[in-house]
Amino acid sequence: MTIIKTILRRLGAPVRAEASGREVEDELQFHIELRTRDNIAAGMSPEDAVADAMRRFGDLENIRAVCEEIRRERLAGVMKMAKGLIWIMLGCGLTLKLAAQVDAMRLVGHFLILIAILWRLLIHLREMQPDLRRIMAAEQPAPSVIHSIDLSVGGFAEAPPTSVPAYDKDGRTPVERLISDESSGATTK
Amino acid sequence: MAQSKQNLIQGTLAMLILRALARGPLHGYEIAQRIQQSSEDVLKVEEGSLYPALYRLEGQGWVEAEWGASENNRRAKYYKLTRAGRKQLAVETSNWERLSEAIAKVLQTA
Repeated sequence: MTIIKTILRRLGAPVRAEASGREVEDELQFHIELRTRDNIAAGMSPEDAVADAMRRFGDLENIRAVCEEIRRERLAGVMKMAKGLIWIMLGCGLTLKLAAQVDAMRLVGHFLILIAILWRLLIHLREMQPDLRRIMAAEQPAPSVIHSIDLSVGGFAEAPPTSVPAYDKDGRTPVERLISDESSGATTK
Repeated sequence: MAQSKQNLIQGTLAMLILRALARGPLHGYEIAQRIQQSSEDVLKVEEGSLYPALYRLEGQGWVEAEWGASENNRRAKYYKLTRAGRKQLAVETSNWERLSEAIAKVLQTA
């Protein structure tokens, strides 16, 4: 069942492709916003909090571009697979339609052809949509990540990080600590 | 002892992300927090670098993402480990343990 769910999720990716561009933006913005709120809760001024959040995040434009590129490559792969499946479905449908001796099987053939055509049409429409959106977006100013951060809500305070040595009292490295702590947490859970 | 703030060794970030997700779904910020807190602030992840790594892990099928509501009711993208990701984590953890044991032996004998 999980395998079927995974396949369906992956094949559905082209349909979600148009939304994903905005999702990268939303995800990165959400991160910076949370860091900003934590900074404010720890006593920074809003301006310093935003500046620190941006500094910790790194090169936002570059990271966004890399994420978009990875997403595009993945979608291209999924799209190729989906188109391959459509051809297989179409082939099976036509074979059943022309060669099947039983009406029920011919009906299945018709159904497969219909699904393949609809699926291909849907992908085609989604492929066209980004162009339309780009044209529409060109008429509106691009949103600024920093200006859209909502600084009004605090409450994410946590203690500021404490200074610790690279090795703990048992001589473990940070990674070893991470692994053993997580393992013990998982077993107690 | 002076505090040692170390950059993450190239390639270990994926393992740390997978490990952070082993206990349940987290969004990107929580993953960064989890890694930093678990390492007691020794490992400082450049926070933005998490996202390309997460997207690659998603592409490899080791994590999957789903949008949900965060603790402050904001829309957030949550990542969770897949079965393949869990296997990969076991492999990477084992490799890392072998490597660190080998290095420790060299340091003890050299």
